[in-house]
Amino acid sequence: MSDLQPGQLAPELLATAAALVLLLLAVSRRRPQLVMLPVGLGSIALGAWMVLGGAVVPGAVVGLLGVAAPLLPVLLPGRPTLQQAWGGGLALAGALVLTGWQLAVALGDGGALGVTGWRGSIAVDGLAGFTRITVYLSALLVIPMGYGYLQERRINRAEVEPLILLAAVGMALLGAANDLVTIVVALEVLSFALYVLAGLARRDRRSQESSLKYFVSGAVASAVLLYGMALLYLATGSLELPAIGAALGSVLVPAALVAVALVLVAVGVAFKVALAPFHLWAPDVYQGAPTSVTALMAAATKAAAFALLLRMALVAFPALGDVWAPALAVLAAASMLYGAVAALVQADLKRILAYSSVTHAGYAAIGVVARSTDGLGATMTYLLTYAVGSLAAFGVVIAVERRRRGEVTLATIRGLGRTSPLLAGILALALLSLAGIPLTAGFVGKLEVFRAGVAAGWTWLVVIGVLSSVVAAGFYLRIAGVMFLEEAPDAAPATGDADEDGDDEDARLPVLSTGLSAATALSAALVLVVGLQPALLLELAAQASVLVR
Amino acid sequence: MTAIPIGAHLILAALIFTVGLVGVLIRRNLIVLFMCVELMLNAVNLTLVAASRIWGAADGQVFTFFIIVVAAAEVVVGLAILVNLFFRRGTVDVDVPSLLRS
Amino acid sequence: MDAMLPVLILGLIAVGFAAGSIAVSNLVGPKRLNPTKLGAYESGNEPLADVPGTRFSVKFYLVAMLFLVFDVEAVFVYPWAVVLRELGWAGLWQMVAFVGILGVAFVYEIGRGGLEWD
Repeated sequence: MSDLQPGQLAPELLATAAALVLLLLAVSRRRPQLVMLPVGLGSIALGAWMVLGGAVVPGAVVGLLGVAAPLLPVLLPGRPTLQQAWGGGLALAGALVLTGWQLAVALGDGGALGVTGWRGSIAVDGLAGFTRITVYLSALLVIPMGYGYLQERRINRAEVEPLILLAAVGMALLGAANDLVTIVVALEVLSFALYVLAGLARRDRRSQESSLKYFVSGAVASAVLLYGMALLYLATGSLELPAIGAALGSVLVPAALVAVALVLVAVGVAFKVALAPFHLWAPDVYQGAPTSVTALMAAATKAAAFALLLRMALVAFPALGDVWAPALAVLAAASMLYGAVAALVQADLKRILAYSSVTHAGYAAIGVVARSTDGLGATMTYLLTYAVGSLAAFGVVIAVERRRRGEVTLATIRGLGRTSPLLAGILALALLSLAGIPLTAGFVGKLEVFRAGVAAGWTWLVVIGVLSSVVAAGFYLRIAGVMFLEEAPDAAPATGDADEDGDDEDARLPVLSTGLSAATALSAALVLVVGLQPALLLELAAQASVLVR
Repeated sequence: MTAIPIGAHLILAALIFTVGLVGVLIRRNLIVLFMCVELMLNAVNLTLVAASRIWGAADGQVFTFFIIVVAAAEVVVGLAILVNLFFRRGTVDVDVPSLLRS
Repeated sequence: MDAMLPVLILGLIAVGFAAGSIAVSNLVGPKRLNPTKLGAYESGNEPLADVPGTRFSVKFYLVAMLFLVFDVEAVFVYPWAVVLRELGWAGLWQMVAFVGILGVAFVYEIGRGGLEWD
């Protein structure tokens, strides 16, 4: 059992433990210290033991969280949901630190990137590390973003943070999963948590419908993917991806069986990453779910699903590259074109962003189609830049939605540039990044992906990508125009719900809280920093473009 | 006794999977839809167990255990969503007019 | 046919258990019937036929779902128990962690009132 090294899964173990503690805290009623004091003391002891054992950074993280645990109820008395939010946020910050520690150790002297652990179930490589960064960062930003919003909708139950933590664990584990069993478990953990989160607003029929659609499409996609995996095992006799890849490279496997398995796996994964024409669930689910959950789905789930796609394509199916690459290229082209065109005719902002996520799945897929180390790094970079851009955009949507308690349409944000220039500016920045305009993060990602595509000889795909970017820039500019060029609607109840708030004066102004402004500003700052100083990220991506094969 | 050839299991599994998939596509009642997904998952299990037998290895059966547990959890989450939805709109038909439209 | 005999016996036991349960609950369960109880509610019509698929209370679903989740986890314990000695202490601690996680879920379930009938 000595090959079960906890360090290789340190962020996931930490986040899982935190989710369990928060669940206990949720039912501790008026005696939170009954849970937090033993947990805190235990964690401090464990942390000290780890530091003495030589694991300084993880020991310090565990110890500090152990100090924080009993302090939460003391510093935030009588506010259980705020305790949950801080607890979840601190745990995710700890997970992020542990991820950085893992990468630093692996990239440093004597470190190893590209090995397996936990008896071959876990890959310790760049894809796992990058997925962790994207996922934990997104989840960390989503918690403060959603706190006030969920509070106002009266759906801020104590289960929110544990579910976000579990979803993040599933996503991060999906990035590191190196065999079929781990993939399935990780995929289902993240899916179940998101099904529940999407249906968080139990009295809102749109939220329920979103949850149901997500569940039905997700369950069917999982079943198809699983059957593909079962056939893959039948054909190769192995559950580990590198072994499957090696077996498929030999001539002994039955070709027809492998072809069916490839099709089923491809359909299942395409559903999960929402590539056209398997994207039909995405707009409805994104629109109906609570907006902070939508932000998590867009930013983090996309990265995790792409990690699955990358690993399946490049580790399990490299021998069949000539078969799947053209098919995936067609899907990518369809996503880029269809998503951009469909977004043009939408009015609801969340729906527009949903279609935009379909387009972005197409761009990110170019890096997979390229089948190169550069392509791998480009897709990982792209997913991170897309995550920060979409998080900033959804942050603004949340702020606008909070006052109006309804859908955010183009009419809602008319004149936002006059009423709250800062928010409008952040939304514009986020949209510029999503459109891939220079000096923003989105440009860095898009350039990398296109470069990898051209280098691998997929010029026609890149041309379609550029074409789609132009169309997409059209609807991003349309939003910017609506915000800055058009007059704000009169304060008189334009949509009819202003009288609900009582004060007609402020009915069109967005609402900000500390958490929301901080998280949105941080996302926007990351968009700018990555856009202006891309060297650091690109260097990391270049060094981390290592896959276990 | 004459052993049932292993290929028969695989064909049976493929048939069950097809029945489930067709059911998902044509039935509109959500409970029936869940049952069809379960059929698909059990076809996966049958395939894995048969394949495990062919390869003389246990890992396929281990995978089956995980799928059984995952399927149970899936049903629980699905039924919870369903029960709540039934209270909200009084039907479990997937075709009732949708609120989420372009 | 020898190989199929255990399967046949298992099938008979399963059918027998199902039939037996229904029969026993019909025989042993308390029945205090009276004309009012058997009649239609208030001034309603006498039903013309038995309606199939009478609705159950949703509480049954809740209990069934909670039971299902915990019940199915046992599938991991059986193979573990078979090879416990080979796994040694490490195997024991892993199962302790697994059951501990389930225990947290169970505490949460009770704390949220999932097992209260009313």
